[in-house]
Amino acid sequence: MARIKNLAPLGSPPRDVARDTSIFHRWLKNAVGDAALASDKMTGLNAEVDTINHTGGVRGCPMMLPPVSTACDIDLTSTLLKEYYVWAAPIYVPPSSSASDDYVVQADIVRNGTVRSYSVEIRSFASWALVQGGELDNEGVEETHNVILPLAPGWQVLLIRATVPITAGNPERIRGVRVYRKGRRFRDPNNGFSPLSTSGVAQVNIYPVPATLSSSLLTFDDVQVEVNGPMDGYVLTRLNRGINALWEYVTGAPVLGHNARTMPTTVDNNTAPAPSLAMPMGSWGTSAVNIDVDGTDKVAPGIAGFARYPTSEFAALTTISQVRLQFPSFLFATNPLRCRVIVWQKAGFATNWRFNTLTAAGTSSIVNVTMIGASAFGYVDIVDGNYTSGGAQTLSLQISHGAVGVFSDEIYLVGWSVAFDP
Amino acid sequence: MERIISSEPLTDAECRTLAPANSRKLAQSIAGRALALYELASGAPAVDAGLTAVNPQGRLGVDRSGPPWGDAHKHALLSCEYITATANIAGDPKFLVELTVIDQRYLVPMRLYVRPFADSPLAPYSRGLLQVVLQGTGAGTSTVEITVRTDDGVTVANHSNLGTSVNILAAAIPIPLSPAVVQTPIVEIRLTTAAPNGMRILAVTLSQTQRTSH
Repeated sequence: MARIKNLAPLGSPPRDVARDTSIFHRWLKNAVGDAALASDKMTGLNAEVDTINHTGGVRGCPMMLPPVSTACDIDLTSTLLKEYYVWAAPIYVPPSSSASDDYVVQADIVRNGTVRSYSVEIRSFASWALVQGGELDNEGVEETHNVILPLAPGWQVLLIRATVPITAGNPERIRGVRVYRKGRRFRDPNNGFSPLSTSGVAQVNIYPVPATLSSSLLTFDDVQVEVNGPMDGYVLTRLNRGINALWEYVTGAPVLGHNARTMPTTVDNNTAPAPSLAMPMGSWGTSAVNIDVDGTDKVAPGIAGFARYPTSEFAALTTISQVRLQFPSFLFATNPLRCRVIVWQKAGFATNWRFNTLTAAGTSSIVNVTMIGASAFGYVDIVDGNYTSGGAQTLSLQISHGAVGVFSDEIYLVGWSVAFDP
Repeated sequence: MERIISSEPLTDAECRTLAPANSRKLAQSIAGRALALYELASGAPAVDAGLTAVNPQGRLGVDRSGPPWGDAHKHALLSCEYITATANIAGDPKFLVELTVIDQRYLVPMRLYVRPFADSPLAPYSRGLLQVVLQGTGAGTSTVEITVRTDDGVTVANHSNLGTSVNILAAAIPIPLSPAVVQTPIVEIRLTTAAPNGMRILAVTLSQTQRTSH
């Protein structure tokens, strides 16, 4: 017996359900196959390949989670009137069915209540080559500027450039950076909540829903829906209940007519073999403010707010940055967290430095810096399964030194980012 | 090609073997919901044109922005990094501000984009939850008052910090959110007690934490 499952959705035409139309197997078999197809795509069961991972196309609507949404308060005043990279960090653009999607880049650089202009660069993680950039020239407009760029999926480096003023006592500040996928809210009366029964009113469970969604609920074979076969109450009841369960699982909402869901959980990608979701968690620019764009003056005199490592020996792990983050309820064994770090070296030996991440659940492996092409920038790629699903927790980035004898190599933590990148 | 679509469930009684066979009722519910679920899951038209309603993004399918568009997926709406004072790290320790004088106030730089969701009084996404990471700058107990001002009113939370330990104000301070716009929640932190030292505001995190349906 073969489990009925459509390769593509079939549905049934309205004439099949006109009053007094014969109840025959065509719509029933099609419905069984459609329900099995939808269920397998959501759960990953029965060796389904094109599971729902929210990358667009036929693999689920994109989730629109922002790659960058950070607040900071960094003084940008320098003693040299030059253009600097005032903020830089790795960013993770989630996979998409398109080669690129439009993203909005916003940086809040203010002085005297006036928004200052800036420009944006996107550089390759592999080679540091300039991928693209957008120029702004609307200084003085008292609202946040937008730079809209088509960004390809994957890891890349975002750098924000601005000319830092000399003016003392009247500093320019960077107060936040955001990157989000361009979109808008679509106001449609149908995209709100379905009308629900009044909460708290006792209600008979007239549309039964199983406590869990299992593959067997939606497993039927040909003999149960054959032509001229009997309309079997067992098949119809089980199919109806299975679709009810799938409804709650997919939508997160109760079956119409109920005032609450029956199943305790909806789809949340934390049960194997459900597909692992790609998800940016955030990016933070730590010390980009001290690097000028032409490489002449490596460190901007007077610019505050950077963090670096001193010229002394440290083999021990030292925390260099921390964030407090809300974690999704992913199953970490199948979808570990990925942390990417960008560093800049003042002079040589950057690859002796190494980084790891730390949460209350444990410490990641320690990874040495890899230089990016011929640039003075390096990166670290850390995979960490040590987190607790579903809660808010503190994630720390730690630095240590892996070689003995040469400790004159100051290293600058430019920025870092974490994401789920299955 | 036109296809049946439905969200209407059936009772067990309507599915019984000897129940009156009403093709419109049975087939519309069974066939219509199976097709609707495929379209909601995949985000792609099940047949020639989309049959289900569009989600708050204006697209087909569940986008995990809260029922009926899937679970309200947990994620950080805004976060910032911080470094507590470490002797081995040169440069300025990174934190938002250090409050040293009683009644000194700090307006947290919170500008964030919230992805589209269906806003209704029951929408799980209608509120973000604020956490504040604090650290005393010396011995003694210092206290801050955190005030969140919104159109719905003013929420005030007080938090004390003993010594230089890092404390996380994990109390759920809800902040109303609007979909698909950049917004600036007003969060003010005021030093109310300094005995004798002040308080550092290391970081804030605003998160979407409501995962399941209402």
